[in-house]
Amino acid sequence: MRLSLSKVRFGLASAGVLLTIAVASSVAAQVPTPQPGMAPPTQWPAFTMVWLETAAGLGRNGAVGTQRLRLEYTDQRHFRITLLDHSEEPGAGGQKQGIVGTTWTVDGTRSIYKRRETARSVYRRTSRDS
Amino acid sequence: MTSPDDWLKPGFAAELTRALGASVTRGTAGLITVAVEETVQPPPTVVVTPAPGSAASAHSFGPGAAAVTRVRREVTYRESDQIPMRVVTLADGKEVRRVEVQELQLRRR
Repeated sequence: MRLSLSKVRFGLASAGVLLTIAVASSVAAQVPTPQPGMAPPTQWPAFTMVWLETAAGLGRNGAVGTQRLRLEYTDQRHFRITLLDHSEEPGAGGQKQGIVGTTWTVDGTRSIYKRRETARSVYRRTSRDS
Repeated sequence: MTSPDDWLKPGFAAELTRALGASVTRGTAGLITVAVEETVQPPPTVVVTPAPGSAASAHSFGPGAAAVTRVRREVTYRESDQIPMRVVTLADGKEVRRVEVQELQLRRR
């Protein structure tokens, strides 16, 4: 059971990384084009957005699941995406574990992936260091 | 479709509006919805034929006679700056994905 939970978490973490990479690459790659009859899109203004996604495949074994993400967008080369909640990783009592809390930051040409430190990861690190 | 999260890029709304058969609906509160439908063909079935004299039998993999899927995509965005607020994807009339923006705050650069 412990092993299977680990596998599930690893799978979710991988999916989260792929998601953020996909979002990051698509935000960064697009060159906006003006459209007749529409306001010229050019650049988006800087904004912070939180969205809820409900989709098949976000749950276990292809089931429907949900996730909530925050995008702090400055421009196409400077933004940060944070996974706030995931239906497969419910935060109990404010605890953040697993993939929840991970961030993907694009700063110019640098991309930085960060996973929020959990009690377990701190324990592992300190045990290894001592 | 270019990427699962192509709705999150500047200019995507304009790009979608240019798609063949796109319908544009002007809603309330300065929101515009663009809907596009497309037919997605299943991948072809591959038949593997063993070499003459081989003990293996012929077999195939793939969806076989799976039906084509009709995918409808609806993107709602703010007319003023084209920031998307909602994305709904339906496959054969069944909703398979929904993205709803819950909070949006414009910032100074």
